[in-house]
Amino acid sequence: MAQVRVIAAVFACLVVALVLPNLALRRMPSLWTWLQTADDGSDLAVLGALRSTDPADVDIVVLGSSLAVVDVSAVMIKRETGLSVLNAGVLAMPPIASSMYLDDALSLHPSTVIVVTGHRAFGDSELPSASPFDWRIAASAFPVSAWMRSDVLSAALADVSDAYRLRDVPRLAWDGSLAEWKGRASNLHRAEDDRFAVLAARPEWSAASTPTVVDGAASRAVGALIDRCTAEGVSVLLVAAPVHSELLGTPDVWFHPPHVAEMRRVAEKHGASVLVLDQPGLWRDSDFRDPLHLAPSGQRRFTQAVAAELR
Amino acid sequence: MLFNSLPFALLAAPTVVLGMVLRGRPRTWILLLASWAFYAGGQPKWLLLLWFSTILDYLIGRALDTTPDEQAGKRKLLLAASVIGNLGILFAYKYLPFVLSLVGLGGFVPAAYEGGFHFLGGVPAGLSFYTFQTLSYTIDVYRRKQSAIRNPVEFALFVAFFPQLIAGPVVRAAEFFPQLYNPKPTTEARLWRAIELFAVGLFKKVVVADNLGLLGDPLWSSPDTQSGPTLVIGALIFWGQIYADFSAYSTMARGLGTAFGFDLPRNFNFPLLADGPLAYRRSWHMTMSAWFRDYVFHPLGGSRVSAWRVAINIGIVWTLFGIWHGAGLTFLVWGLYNGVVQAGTREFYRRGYRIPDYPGKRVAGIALNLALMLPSAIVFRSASLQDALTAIWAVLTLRGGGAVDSLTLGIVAVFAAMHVASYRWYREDVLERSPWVVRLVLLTGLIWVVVFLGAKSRPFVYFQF
Repeated sequence: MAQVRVIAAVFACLVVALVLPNLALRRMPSLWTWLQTADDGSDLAVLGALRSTDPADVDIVVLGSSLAVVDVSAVMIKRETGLSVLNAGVLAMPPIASSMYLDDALSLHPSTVIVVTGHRAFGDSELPSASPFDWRIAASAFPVSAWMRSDVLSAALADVSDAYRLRDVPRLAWDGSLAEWKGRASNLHRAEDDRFAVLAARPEWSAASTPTVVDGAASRAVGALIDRCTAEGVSVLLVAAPVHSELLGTPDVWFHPPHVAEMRRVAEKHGASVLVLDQPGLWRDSDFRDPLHLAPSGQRRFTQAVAAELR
Repeated sequence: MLFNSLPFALLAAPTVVLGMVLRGRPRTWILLLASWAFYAGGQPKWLLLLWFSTILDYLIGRALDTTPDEQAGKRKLLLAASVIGNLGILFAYKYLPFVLSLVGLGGFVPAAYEGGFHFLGGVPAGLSFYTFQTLSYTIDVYRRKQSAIRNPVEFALFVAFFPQLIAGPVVRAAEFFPQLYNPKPTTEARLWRAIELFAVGLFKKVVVADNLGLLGDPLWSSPDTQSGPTLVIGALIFWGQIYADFSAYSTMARGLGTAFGFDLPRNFNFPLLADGPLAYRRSWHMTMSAWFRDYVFHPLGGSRVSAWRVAINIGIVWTLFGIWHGAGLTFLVWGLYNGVVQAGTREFYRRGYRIPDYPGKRVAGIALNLALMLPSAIVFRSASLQDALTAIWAVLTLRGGGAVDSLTLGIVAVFAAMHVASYRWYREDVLERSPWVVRLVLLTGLIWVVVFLGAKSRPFVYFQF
């Protein structure tokens, strides 16, 4: 009996430690706004972008996966255009998962919704309407086997729990060079620390092994998203995010042609604008922090182009 | 499988409950299956190697036990088979590529694994720990200090007991089996102690060690560009990191052991606050030091031979200790350096020299010991001997350059102060002694700190050894 009491006490402590701070942080949007004022493209700014901006006065809502979170700087757009931007990208989710925010986003009455899409197929073509803070979203987005992986769990929790996400702040504050750092093999660092080793670890990411065309269901979902926005009087800008040419397997090609073609087709059919920054020589290796996401220099160029389009 | 991971929590929680409820054979089976599942959680293929080592030493132990002393030759052959079998595995997986490359046959090493640490698909986690543990068993049976274990399940559990399988503490059969047969009842007080040990270990790992790693890694990613003083700080940060990392695992292992009714031995006793090399040796990786003392140093003659022989024996022990960490010149030089320091210190005292008492002698001793350990830390941390020499030269010549930022120094100072405070006042029984309300507040606070101040999960450094 005594043992049961102890185990129950430990469980209670876990709940109190993990849930209460989260509830408190949910009431502190200013914290996230402050984080977003860190250097453009830094991890701190990315963290802030997740939850920042007072939703009471939003001109632009950015939807998308981590590509939206990492590649687009809301602060920079505000600086360049004077428009107030809510970056509502969702980490560790397929791009279409951002549509989970659609109801929330439209309730803010923005003038424009920007949808950032990557080269990968939209894994989830549904248009769920629940709140992004709902556990059901995380549960439906990740199969049971994925929960056994601590990195996936971290990502899922990070999206659901502001408190859990905040745990990264001290680490990121202390490790200012994280974004630029390239791993090297040594006693403690092995080769897999290298940012491109992720390609070996995640073969499904490579263009060769993944059907990266936007399939019919996903196209319809994006089309429905555009229609829904248009019906509310909100214009839509579809933006293609560049990926490292090494991922696509062709030198100096930073966009997956089938993805871009399908995106243009859907945009034309449903009346949305499209932005594809595929001018030759525009992107360099150093513009990427990993095969999918932009480093500060790349984020700057990408965001400036988006801002110019908005103007 | 990492202690600081969700899969481990999912495995450990039911195992602890079943371990408390069950007795006898079912309990042994549950612990064994959980241990194998724990090990398979890393890379399942290495389970085969664990089983091989288990079967080898179980059979040899039984044969040694039943072979009379009159058949000394046969007994020696059996012991040799165990030594060759265990050390042979170790050699093949950890040292063969390095040796081949030293003798100019590096071309035989598969290119993908070139570099020493990876051969035959990598190095199994904890290989050096469990091979040494089973080796101690067969040597003890050979010496008639330990009876052979008849029950293969019990012996398999001795080899694979998951709290200490991957990174120690190295447990002897004489310590393990009496506790397996007569486990201490999991009282409320012991359960609180188990929780405290595990939680404190987790704190040391994810808050102290991993954050120190994040602070130190940038300094060591390019040691040739760092200033001398920065490298001194970097070496201290690294030594703090590796201490916190390794002792964290041992503390968590002791916590788990306590939950299962075992009292596993301490592996560290505040070595960073040792006031001299001898005290340092006695307090760092204590179970492995005792292993080398009992199975290498004493058979070589120990301290009963001439002063020169003792010095050489110490040198041999430390050299072996160095290369136990892995194949590489840095580990070899680390061992040699420590051997010289230990032998030199011993000779200093043997000749009757004593340092007179004076105010602050202990603090000065700690500082001197840290200074002596500094080259050792640099060599251990460096990717190559050349990097190590470059760094040591930079320290000796006080090479100029960028300074360590004040935030880093502040964090290191906070951790150092916590370490000193725990040395003075902490006795691992806070939860056990406290009223319920205090327990809940402390535990909640500790969980909060671990979750929100912990760095991102990274493997224990000693897993690679």
